[in-house]
Amino acid sequence: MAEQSLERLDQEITLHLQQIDSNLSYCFNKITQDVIPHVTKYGTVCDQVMDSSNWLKIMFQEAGNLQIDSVAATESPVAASKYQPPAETTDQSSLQTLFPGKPRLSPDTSSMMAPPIILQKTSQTPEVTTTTTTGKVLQLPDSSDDENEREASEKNRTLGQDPEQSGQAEQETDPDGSTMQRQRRKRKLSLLLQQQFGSSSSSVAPSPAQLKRPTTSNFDSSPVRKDASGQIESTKHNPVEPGTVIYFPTRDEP
Amino acid sequence: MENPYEQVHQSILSRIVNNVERLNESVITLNQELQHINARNKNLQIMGQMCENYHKSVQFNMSATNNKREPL
Amino acid sequence: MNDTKARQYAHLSQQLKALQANLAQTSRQMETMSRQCNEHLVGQLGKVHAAWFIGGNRCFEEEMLGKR
Repeated sequence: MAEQSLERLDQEITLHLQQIDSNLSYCFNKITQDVIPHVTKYGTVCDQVMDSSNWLKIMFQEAGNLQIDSVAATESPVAASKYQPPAETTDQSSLQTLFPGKPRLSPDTSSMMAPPIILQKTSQTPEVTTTTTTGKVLQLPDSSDDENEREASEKNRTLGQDPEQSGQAEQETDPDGSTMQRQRRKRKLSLLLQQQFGSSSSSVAPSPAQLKRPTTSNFDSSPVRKDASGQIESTKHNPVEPGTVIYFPTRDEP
Repeated sequence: MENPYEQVHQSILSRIVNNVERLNESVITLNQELQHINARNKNLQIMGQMCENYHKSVQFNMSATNNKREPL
Repeated sequence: MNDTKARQYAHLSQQLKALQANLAQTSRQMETMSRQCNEHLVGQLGKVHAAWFIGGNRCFEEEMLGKR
C-alpha cells in the first residue's frame, strides 16, 4: 500500500510539474509570438507619430529662442522642445502678469520650466547617475526654486544661454508664484520621476536611428526564441526518454 | 527504486528552469519595449500639454487685444 | 540528487523573483500607458493639426483674395 501511495504521489508530482511546465511554455510562446510583435508594431507606430509631429517641436524651438543646436545635441526632442515654449509664454506672461486672469499660464510655464532640465540631465547621463539626478531633483521643490535651477542649469553643458533666461523667467514668474506653483511643480516632478525611474534604466537611446536598432534586435531575437521554443518543445520528449516510466501529454503540444 | 521518478522530476525541473529563464528574457525585452514606448508617449503627452498651453495663451492674447474673430 | 535539486530550486526561486520584479515593472508600464492612452493623445494631435490646417487655409485664402 505504501509503495502504491508513493507511486501515486510521484505520478501526481510529475503531473503537476508538467502542468507547470506546460503553463510556463504556454506563457512564453504567448509572449514571444503574440505580445512582442504587436508591441514592436505599436512602438514603430509611435515612432512614426513622433516623427510626424516633429515639426511642432521645430516650430516651438524656432518660435522660442532659436536653440536648435542644443536640442540636436541632446537629441531628446521634447526635453528641449519642452524647454523652448516657456520662453514664448514667459514673454507673453511678462506682459500678461499685468492682467488679473492670468495665473493659469504662469504656473504652467513655471512647471514647464522645471522638468526639462531633469530630462536633459537624464538624456545626457543615460544610465549611471539616476540616483544623483533624482536626489538633485528631489531637492528641487524643498528649497527655493531659483537657486536650485540655477545650479542645475549651470550644470547643463550645452545650454549656455538658458540658465539666465530661466532665472529671469522665474524671477518674473516667482513674484506671482505662490504655493500653487510649487504644488504643481511637485506633482509634475513626482510624475516625471515615476516615469523616469522606468525610463532611466532603459538606456535612453534618443536618436531614431538608435531607437530602431533595439526593435530590429527584437525582431531578430524573436524568431531565434521561437526556434528556441521549438527546440524546447522538440526537446520536451527527449529528457523524458531516459526515465520513460510515465508520460503525460501536456497541453501545449497541439 | 525511486530513481526513475527522480530522473523524471529532475528532467522536468531542468525544463522548467530553462523555460523560466527564457520567459524571463522575453519579459525583459518586453519591458524594454514598454519603457521605450512610454518614453515616446511621454514626449507626446508633453507635446499635447505644450500645445494646450500655447492654445490657452494665444486665445487669451487674442481676447485681450480684441483681435479674436468669430469662427466661420 | 538532493544537491542538484537544491541548486535547481534555488536557481528557480531566483529566476521567479526576477520574473516577479519584471512583471511588476510591466504592470507599472502598462498603467502609465493606459493613463497616457486615456488622455486621447492622438485625438489631441489630430485636433492640433486640423486647427493648423484650417488656419493656414483661411490665411492663404485671404491672401489670395486680397491679391485679386
